[in-house]
Amino acid sequence: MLKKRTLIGAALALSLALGTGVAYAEESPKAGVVGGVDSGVAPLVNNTDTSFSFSLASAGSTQGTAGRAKDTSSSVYIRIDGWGGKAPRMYIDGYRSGTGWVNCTQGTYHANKTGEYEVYNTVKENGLSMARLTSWGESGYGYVYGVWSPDCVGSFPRL
Amino acid sequence: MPLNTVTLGEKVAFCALAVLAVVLVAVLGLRGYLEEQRHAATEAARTQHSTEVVLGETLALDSIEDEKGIAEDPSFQARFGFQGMMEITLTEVEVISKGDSRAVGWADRGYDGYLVTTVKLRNANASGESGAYDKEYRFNISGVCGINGSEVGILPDLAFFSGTPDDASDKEGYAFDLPPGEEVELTLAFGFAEDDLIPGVEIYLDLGMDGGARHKYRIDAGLSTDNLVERLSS
Repeated sequence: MLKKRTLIGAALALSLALGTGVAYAEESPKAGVVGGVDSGVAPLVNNTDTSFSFSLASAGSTQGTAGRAKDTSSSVYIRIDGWGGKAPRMYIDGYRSGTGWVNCTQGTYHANKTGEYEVYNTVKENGLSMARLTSWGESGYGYVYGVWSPDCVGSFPRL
Repeated sequence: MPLNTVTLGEKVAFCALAVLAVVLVAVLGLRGYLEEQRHAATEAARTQHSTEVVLGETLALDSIEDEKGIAEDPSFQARFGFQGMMEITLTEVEVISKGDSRAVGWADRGYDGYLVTTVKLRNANASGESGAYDKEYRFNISGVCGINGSEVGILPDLAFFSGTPDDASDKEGYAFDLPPGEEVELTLAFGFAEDDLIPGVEIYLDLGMDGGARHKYRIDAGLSTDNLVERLSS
């Protein structure tokens, strides 16, 4: 005899199969950057600031910078000059030849304040030498812009 | 399980579940279709409202125009890191090898060569955004322009930039000074390794900050990644 929980289980399985379960993009690579760096002769630190601007049209959308050389196992430096809407989630990806971009963010970060901050990551710890800054629209339209550098010199609060 | 052991109530529940599944599939399918249509329309509008010029042509970068976005997507903004207008012209593109005498002292991360671009910038009436630099007419070249490195396999990190002011800190390596009414010619060199290049991709100077809308304004550099390899070996 069919039990009630069998029907509930079937409903849940159906829901998951149809993709109505929670889908989370944290570890999925985003639109692509391809490249590689021979860090054997690289400068010791890549802390020059470059500008970024992300505008997430809706929940689930992602944007990212191009990959930049990461020379040290330091935090990533970020200075947020402006943000608005639903605060985007921020991530640091590392690049591995062959497998592409992987999420190397250590912790959870929202771009919900301006100022200078650190974003913890494991790019170098994972043996990778390129990093990029990416964002994800967690709960709807939002934007953020500022500057960032792959390596951080000095000490700043955690974003 | 024999069918005759299933009660009427269970049959009704099973049928309800089946109906629910069909409705769910239909709703999800429609939602996906509409989302796809909306996305396609936005992308088409973005392409339609994008501006492209070629090597030698001047393009006006107007922050006020940019901030309007487009009707289909008000967030479609390149952002330049300044308020006001500058004019930019890509005047020269050159490929040099790692061993070229001009590349002595340039950053080297195992590059085979450098894509050297020369841009002419004229500040019509632009001033830097507050908080970026202490000086009102100091700007970050990475906010103004950069190579479409994500697509071609060239690191966006500049191996050489001619505009860095003498008093700039390490972090300000991409800074340059340009008061209103003045013009400057700047050299930007991007290092590349042949193995990293994606074959057959056109190279552009994308204008605006690195991120989602950098392709809104761009300059066709008149060469592809294949040309980089050819010119390097010639």
